[in-house]
Amino acid sequence: MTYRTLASCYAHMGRLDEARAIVGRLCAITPAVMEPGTRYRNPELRELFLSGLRLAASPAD
Amino acid sequence: MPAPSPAEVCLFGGFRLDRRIGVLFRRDEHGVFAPLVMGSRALDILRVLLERPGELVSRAEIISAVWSATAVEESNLDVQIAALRRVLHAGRTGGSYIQTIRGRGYRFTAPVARVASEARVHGPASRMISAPPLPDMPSLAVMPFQNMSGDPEQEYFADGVVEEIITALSRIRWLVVIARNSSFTYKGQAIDVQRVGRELGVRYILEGAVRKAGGRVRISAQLIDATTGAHLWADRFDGLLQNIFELQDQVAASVAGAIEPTLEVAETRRLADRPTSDLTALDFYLRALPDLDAFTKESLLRALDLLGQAIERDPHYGPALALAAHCYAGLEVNRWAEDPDAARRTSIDLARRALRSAPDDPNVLAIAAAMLGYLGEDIDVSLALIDRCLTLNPSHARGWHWSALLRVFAGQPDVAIEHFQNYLQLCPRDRMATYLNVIGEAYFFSRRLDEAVANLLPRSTWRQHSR
Repeated sequence: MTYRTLASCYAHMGRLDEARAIVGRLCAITPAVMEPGTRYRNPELRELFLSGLRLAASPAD
Repeated sequence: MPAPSPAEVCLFGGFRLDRRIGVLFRRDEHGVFAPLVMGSRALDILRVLLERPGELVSRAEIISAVWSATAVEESNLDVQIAALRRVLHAGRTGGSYIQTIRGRGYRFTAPVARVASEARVHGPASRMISAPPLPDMPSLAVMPFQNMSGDPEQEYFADGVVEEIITALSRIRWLVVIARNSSFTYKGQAIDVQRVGRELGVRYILEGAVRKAGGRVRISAQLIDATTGAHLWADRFDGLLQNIFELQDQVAASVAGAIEPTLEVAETRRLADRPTSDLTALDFYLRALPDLDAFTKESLLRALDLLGQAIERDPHYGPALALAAHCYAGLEVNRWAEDPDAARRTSIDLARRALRSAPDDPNVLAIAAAMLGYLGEDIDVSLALIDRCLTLNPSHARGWHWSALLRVFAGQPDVAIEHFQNYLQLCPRDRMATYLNVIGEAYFFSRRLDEAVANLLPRSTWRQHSR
């Protein structure tokens, strides 16, 4: 859970390499990298979390 | 709750209202309280609301308390409430401290801690820079008690007794009690009280021993001034095992009396009825506590087995029901449950049963609030529960931690940061622990990304919400 927030955070900072590295660590623990993030009740903040995570989980070009 | 005496200070959020001098202070970024400029009517309204935090105060009551004999247009109240909100909410993006109940009145929503002003002469002594600033109140850490039962297996019982004494002490509004998570980091070590006092930022240290044999319990305790190493008080409490709750409360009341003989300690009285009258159920509960601490899949399953036996003996044992809810939520959140959906539903059901069984137990309120919030139930219900916990027991460290977590979920990251800082004051040793990721998330949602990384990175771990 923390890894996802950290990955999202790195992605929003533009530090994509680090974001992807965190996603790699996440993959070692669980196959489900993406998650609905429903515990974050505020839609705008949930999207902040999810958009960063999507970016972090996207393959490098 | 005791009626507020006129000579007292109220603490809420980052604010401090000194009622004697009629000044509201706000804590700045250095932890220093700076006075705020505001009108006397707005201050009077705040005073009225703070007398009954969490309760609906009608417009008529406020008007008659603040304007007394003067005939006044009701719209004046709206103007003053708006002014008060401006002062309280400046630079704040979280929810309002003052909730409007349309057409009826207002409710003060933040937890409020009351401090008798006399207590302020006992400010904590010189502290290491690394120790967090503590409120201006006497502060105490309870060290692990020695198990004198001659059976290492009874260790859990001594630890349970200490946990209960900490809980009883933390209900005292003029006393800051360091959470068990911090004081138990010294378990098994030779204690240098002066060093511990510096590291935890406390003035007083309580040490002791527990002996349980043949249906009787003996608790011995001594209070030490950590600034000088002087022994202030020591006593022994003997009783039947079946009177264990009263015995623990007696220890707490005596310690409080030794620290400040002139102050009221009515709060050490249990807020709720005794949690269970079944000693076997209590024993199962106490044995489950170390397994909750370990927070692995296996330990949670073991704890559930013990708690299940406790609940079977006493189906209305609130704390046991709440802990079982915590176990099931832990299994679900960490994906350790074979049937996650069933674990989730069971956790929610147990949390609700715990609330019905012990609606005034701060610990039950805190656990139920956190689990229901975690598992996607109505977040406003969770916020109301956790606020009630913190109103009943402002030193409830885990309550502040969970309040921060719930505020992150609710989209109030700034309030989360504030409440997390309250948690750190009560649990200074936890700065090294996994809990920091809550404040990391709060910083993330406040878009303070550098601070978020700093708190999310070094201790990133999957064990999100262990006890």
